[in-house]
Amino acid sequence: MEAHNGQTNEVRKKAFFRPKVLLGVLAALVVVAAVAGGVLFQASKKPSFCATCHIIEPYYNSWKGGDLLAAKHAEAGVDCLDCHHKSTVAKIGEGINYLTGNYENPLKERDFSMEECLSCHKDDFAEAVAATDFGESNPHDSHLGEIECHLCHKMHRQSEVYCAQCHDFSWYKDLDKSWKTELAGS
Amino acid sequence: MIEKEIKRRDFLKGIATAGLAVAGVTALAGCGPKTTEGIKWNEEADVVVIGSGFAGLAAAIEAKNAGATVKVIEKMPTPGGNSIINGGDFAAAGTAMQKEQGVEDSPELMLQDMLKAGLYLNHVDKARIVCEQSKDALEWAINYLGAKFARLTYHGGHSVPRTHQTESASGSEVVNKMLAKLKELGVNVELRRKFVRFIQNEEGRVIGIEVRDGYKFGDEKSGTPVFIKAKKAVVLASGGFSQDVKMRTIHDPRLTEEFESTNQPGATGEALREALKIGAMDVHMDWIQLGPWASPDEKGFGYVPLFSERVIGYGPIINPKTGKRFVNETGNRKERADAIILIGVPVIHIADSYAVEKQVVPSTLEAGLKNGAIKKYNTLEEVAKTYNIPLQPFLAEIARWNSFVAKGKDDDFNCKIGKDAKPLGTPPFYVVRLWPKVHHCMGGLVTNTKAQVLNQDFEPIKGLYAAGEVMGGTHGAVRLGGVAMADCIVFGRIAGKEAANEEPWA
Repeated sequence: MEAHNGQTNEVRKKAFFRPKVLLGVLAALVVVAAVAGGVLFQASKKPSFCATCHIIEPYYNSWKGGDLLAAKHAEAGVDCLDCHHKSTVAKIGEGINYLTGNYENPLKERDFSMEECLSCHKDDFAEAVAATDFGESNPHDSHLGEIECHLCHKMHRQSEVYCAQCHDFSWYKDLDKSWKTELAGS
Repeated sequence: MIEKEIKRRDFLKGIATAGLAVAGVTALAGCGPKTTEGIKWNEEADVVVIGSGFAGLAAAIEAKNAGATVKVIEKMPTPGGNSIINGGDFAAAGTAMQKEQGVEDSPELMLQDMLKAGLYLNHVDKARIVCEQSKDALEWAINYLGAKFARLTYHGGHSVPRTHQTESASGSEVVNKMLAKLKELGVNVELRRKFVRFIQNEEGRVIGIEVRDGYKFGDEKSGTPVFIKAKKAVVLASGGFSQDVKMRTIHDPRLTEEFESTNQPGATGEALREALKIGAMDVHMDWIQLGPWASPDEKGFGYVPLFSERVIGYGPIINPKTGKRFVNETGNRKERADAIILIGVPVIHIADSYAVEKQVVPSTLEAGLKNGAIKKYNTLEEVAKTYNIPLQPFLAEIARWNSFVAKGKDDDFNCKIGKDAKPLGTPPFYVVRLWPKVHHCMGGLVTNTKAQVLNQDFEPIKGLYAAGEVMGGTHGAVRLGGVAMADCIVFGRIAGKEAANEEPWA
């Protein structure tokens, strides 16, 4: 029995290691991986895919509705991947971060550079400068010079007026609900 | 701990490099030899400047112009420190603007004023350098940087009008021109990089620094360690510690969190303390100045200082409990702040529309009226009623003040009456409340006239320079208004030039 079984296993092993079979299995694996990857890649383009992760979910929710700037981006047809993980490398990196546990919950706030914001908002900036000339001050043209957008504008939480660290300007009270307005008059 | 962090970082960098390689991008490897500590440098420059206020930026510009490669790091998300929010007054003696306006001044007179206000505790050699080079520093700001100075102003404690105010009545005029100049020279301020500690070699020379890159103010765990090699020197221009309640109450226990500060939130003392850890000497640490012209009715520095300090000598400061004056309005900051604190409640500074229209920048007045810190009243009776001032003594005191203004001499407190001041009487009357805020640390590191930081054996710490508010001694007990800008720019420039002239150690 023993000898017979051993022999069979050996034969099977040998069959498995035959180049043709091995190649066939590998090819099948590659196809499966490619299809799965493709499906995953397609699926990941949908914001709802991001929400399947419970850590990402609250950020997805702030995009899907509510008063925050993320929701305003959603209204304008801007999806998660339009800002986050634009490149395949970044996507893979995020996967690695997830697998290795290299993340914090809640997630660390990302600081997008002015260039990143302006890649869509290029023409809006000059308009913003003109629109926020409140007389007593202009947050887009102040003594601080050119400062990063994200110091005030937050996507997934309430925006904060950077000026409010030192100044009480009367225009704070006219800001919409995407802003922390309790700062005004404090 | 540090070893661990570096290893972890290298590991992460490995991953990042692999990722970048996939994308076909090459990554820069760390450079330079390892120190005895086994530090692998991530970046390097001849001169590394810590801080981006007047002193740091002046040092960076001069070092760059002397041929050095330069890095400027700043822990905050915006550049400029306190300098970008300062009132824009630059004290300088014997300038063209003074001559145009018939003001006779000299570096010697400025020095005497500084010493008198400083209770003669000033390090005279350094105070003298500030005075002697103040005119040149102002001209550098005007001619080289392109900063615009619009008017000559007066600050308490000076013998003559010698503060040159920027067009915008803000130090940002100078800081933004400095930033533009540095950009032109190819140097960008590296924001959100917090200085952690100095790295020294076996002989004690400062050879670099550790910073936290991507630091978020207030979150001490944020950011990742980066080691920057300083081939020639490090210039410490990290400012004072007015916002560091723990540190300031060590040196002056009265200055609890009950007192607000005019400073930006990042004005804390950890960088100064790192210098002390490597053996630097400090001086005058408990001389912490309160701004007597600050208002409890607005945040931070605000607009009231630019109102109150402009109308001293034109309108009296009144104790609301008695309706009477109590201090020389043109005295130095310490005399005034101490006197107000002794009264125990905010005091009243009043000026009429003649004085205010003549002295206060219209945009300042408008902003102060809008935020409510400056109020306007049609009668003195209305003022008395609003602030609960006993009316008759108040009216009598105004009459007495007016008699002093008429004869140009104050018999009670020896206030310097403004040259063209008129008796107070033209409505409307403008009123501000004053309560001091923590403003400036006179104390700091001991440096020599080359801006080298001295150690406890009175010897320069090799490779380490300091300038600006982090450096002590120049002002003694009390800094006069406008001399911060002069001090920062004069010694910032010296530190930058000297640092660039160092022999590189590597």
